[in-house]
Amino acid sequence: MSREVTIGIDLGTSNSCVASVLEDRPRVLANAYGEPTTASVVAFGQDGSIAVGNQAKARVILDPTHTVSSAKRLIGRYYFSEEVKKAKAVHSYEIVSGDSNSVRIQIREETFSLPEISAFVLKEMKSIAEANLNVALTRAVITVPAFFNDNQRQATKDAGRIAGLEVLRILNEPTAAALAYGYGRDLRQKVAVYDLGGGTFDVSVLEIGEEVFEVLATCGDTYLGGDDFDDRLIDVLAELVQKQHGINVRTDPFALEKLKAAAEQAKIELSSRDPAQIKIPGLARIDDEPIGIEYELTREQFSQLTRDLIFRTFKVCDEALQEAGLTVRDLDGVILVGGPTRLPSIRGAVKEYFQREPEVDINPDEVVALGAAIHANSLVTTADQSCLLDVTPLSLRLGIAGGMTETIIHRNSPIPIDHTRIFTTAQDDQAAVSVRIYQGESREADGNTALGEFQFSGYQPGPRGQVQIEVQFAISTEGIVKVSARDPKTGAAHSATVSMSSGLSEQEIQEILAQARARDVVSPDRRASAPQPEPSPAEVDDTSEYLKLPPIDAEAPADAAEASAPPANSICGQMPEDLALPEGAETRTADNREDGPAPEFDATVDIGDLCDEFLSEAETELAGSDEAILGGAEPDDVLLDRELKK
Amino acid sequence: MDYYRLLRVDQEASLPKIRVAYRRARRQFHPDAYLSAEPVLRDAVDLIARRLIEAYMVLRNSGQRAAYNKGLSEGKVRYQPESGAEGGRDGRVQEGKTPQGRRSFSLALAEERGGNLGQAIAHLKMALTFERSNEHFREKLVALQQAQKS
Repeated sequence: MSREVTIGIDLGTSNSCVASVLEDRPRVLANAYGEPTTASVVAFGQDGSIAVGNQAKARVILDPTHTVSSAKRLIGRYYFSEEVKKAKAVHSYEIVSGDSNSVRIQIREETFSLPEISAFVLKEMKSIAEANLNVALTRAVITVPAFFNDNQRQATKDAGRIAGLEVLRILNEPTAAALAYGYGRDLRQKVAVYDLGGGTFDVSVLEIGEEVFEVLATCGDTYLGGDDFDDRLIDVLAELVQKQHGINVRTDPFALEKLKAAAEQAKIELSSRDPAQIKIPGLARIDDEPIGIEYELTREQFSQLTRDLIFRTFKVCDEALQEAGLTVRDLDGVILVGGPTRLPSIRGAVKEYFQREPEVDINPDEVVALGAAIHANSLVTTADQSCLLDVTPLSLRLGIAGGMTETIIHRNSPIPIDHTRIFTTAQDDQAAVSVRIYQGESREADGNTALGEFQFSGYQPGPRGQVQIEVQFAISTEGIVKVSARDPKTGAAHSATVSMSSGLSEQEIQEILAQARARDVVSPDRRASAPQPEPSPAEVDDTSEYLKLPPIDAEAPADAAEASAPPANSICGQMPEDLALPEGAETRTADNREDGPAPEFDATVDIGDLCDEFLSEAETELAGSDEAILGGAEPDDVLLDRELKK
Repeated sequence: MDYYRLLRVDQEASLPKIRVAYRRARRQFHPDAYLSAEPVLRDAVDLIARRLIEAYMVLRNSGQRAAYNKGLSEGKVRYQPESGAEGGRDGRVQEGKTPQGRRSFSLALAEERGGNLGQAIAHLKMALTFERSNEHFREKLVALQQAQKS
């Protein structure tokens, strides 16, 4: 039986990596230059060409306003957020606002959403993999920082779709790393994963045992990454330029990029040499005379400059351990992930904090992609595989009166998880109810990230306080939030509209997909000699023969009403035909961007009976002696709520 | 089906035993293993997974477990929380508006529980540097300082 080939992509802030499981071993797939990682940079040429990868990165100095890097710092964020403000100060490309406070990148006459930018990078990684494997690829697992919120996860998934991939799973980076670490080793360990990427920092504490990888807790800081370490050095150099030459280098994009490149270089050099020499002779020109700077950077100095950043990472570690109910002494190992963890100051601090040497034999640049590849493979094969149990990193909150919120689902709750609540109307004959959803830990609404406002309508109106609307808040295995509502008596689903969300609507994605086919990505980071199998639309869409999953309907009409398919996985079942959405309403429902029409879930089926069926068919660990507790011994014991049958 | 039956443990089972049972059950009923199965079966396994998580989260919290046991004797197989779902794993409420403030505050509380008032006060002062106008933090600091004096 031929196995389907899938890939795992580590879509990093600075660099991306793609891997696949071949002959039962996960392997990183190198680009045309033999490099295992490729820069997450997209360069837009004057002639309309688009370059991605290390070649594009080289263009940063030549054309900084049209070369986009660190898109991951912006994806899924609101325009008014701190991170976007910071990015505007640091990057030379133009960051503008789009609809609903979303972020857009302005390149000459065109604007791009962040998923589109990241899609270019994903497409490139896909091409690299295809060149290595000589086969068209469509299915992938893409990783995200564990601390990414729902907006960021959805946006990353959108990027995957735009790139022509079927995203099997959005997987947390630390979890992926732990999976690669423990793969095939039959471990019984508690480990911490210290993941310092270019733009984000995550700590996850996991318990590994009997091929179960269970995340106990995960904490992070999505405003903290290797780039921040660079920024400290850039500040010092910029000040030096100001002092020595009296100019503000930040107003000159070319000079700024040179400074950044030098800072990054010096930082890397520090790992093998102390001190590192920084020399930028042709930094800028004053009165047509070139000016430059020279600087000697010692490890001690760099350590001092970044002391508070390192300190912050350990505060996050404290929190993660506390949430997991463990101390450093309970751990059996520490795994370092992310290029910046190569810095001697970080390795030293990690060793001191965890009171042990971090694990060796782990390549911090590749381990996440390897884990993603392993997981992708396990999702498409039926061989005995490892089991990942992850958690949601942020509490799900509901907006209540007075600008406050209350918790619906706690952070670090295992997923998938859901919570149901009954709402009622505040006014007589109120036609719709709305709920505002947030993610975060603050009691005050504006201390959190707003996910959106969900409006439910189509129920039978009545006197205030007497109408009952059951709202279900669910977090999927990927950490993606789904909100749906139904009538508690009949089980009929209510129509939902989402507003205030900064993500791309289904319609926008369809438009982008239609345009994307016309656009050509030119990148030498591929093996020019290998044949380029260009997957036809049929291959991308019709995956049904592989896994009996409903096909991605990439060719679906952009008709607004059609685009709002019923919530795929809610227990509500099919949406009644007559609950049509009002004309012109924003029709992106909470989860109508999932794969195709929902399979029907018969709410009257007895779980006990199903399990009987399953247990008798499948190989189980329950040898004859154990009573099959979920068997049909007592048919009245149904797991399914009586409420559903009311 | 009550939580104990679902996890295949006795009602008096210790927390470590429950943990082992939980991991085994989740491994057996993991939605990822059913991606290629019939949709009805897939949804059933998803539901079982959710129910397992619900069971585990209640039983590992001593307060909730006690309340659940009581409800069980009245025939309630699912846990119904009294009020809104405030409080973390062990009923702690998260205070503070900024992540750094919250972290320092909960570290302060942890130290206080451990009897290290000096450390608790240090963490609380740190929390206040992030949230100068947080009245709750200030009150707590005063309370700790007074406790330290006595």
